[in-house]
Amino acid sequence: MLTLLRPSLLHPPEEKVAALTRWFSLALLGAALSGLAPAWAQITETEVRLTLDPAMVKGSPNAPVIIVEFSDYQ
Amino acid sequence: MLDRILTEYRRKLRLVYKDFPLPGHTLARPAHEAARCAGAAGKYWEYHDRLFQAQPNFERADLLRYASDLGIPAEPFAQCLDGGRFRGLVEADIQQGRLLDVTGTPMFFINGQRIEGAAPFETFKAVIDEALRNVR
Repeated sequence: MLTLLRPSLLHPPEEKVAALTRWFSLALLGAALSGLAPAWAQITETEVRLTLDPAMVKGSPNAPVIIVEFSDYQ
Repeated sequence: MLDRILTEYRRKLRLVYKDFPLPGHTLARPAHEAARCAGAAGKYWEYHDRLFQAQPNFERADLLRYASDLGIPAEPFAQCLDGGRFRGLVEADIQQGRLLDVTGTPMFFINGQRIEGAAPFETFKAVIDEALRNVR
């Protein structure tokens, strides 16, 4: 199991949720990155757990750097 | 590209490959499942390389032939592919990619740092060198 962090916004107050479209959320994320967002829209990081198939891993098991590649054969 | 990176950094890198067949690529998903079937026979990376060489010829007969070319026993491989033995794991990779906002391929995460698309070697080198400085 491997964990990666996904930047995302803290949950805004409930009364604001209905007004948030995906694009507005992305705009807030950009604003948060530049320090211009309201306090409730600060960035947090969400853990995403990745499963590993040992057959699909190569390189040193003790390597300090891990590259995860999402790829498509076609 | 990644082979060059792995060669250059040798014991400093570990590569984790995740399946992310794109929705419009109808033959990609069985190809990903076939690669995992090859992995079960101990030939994942050989089959993986063969698929990239053979793009976009991923009909069932092609997938079976590539396995045969690599000396993978035909019957268990066909059973694995036809029975969808790894369908759930490929789907799990897709879901994990979506949680990370992966929408296109290839997509890389180097100690969490995202690189989108087929970036030049220098881009990877810069991110890897930075990651190595951070872990020292």
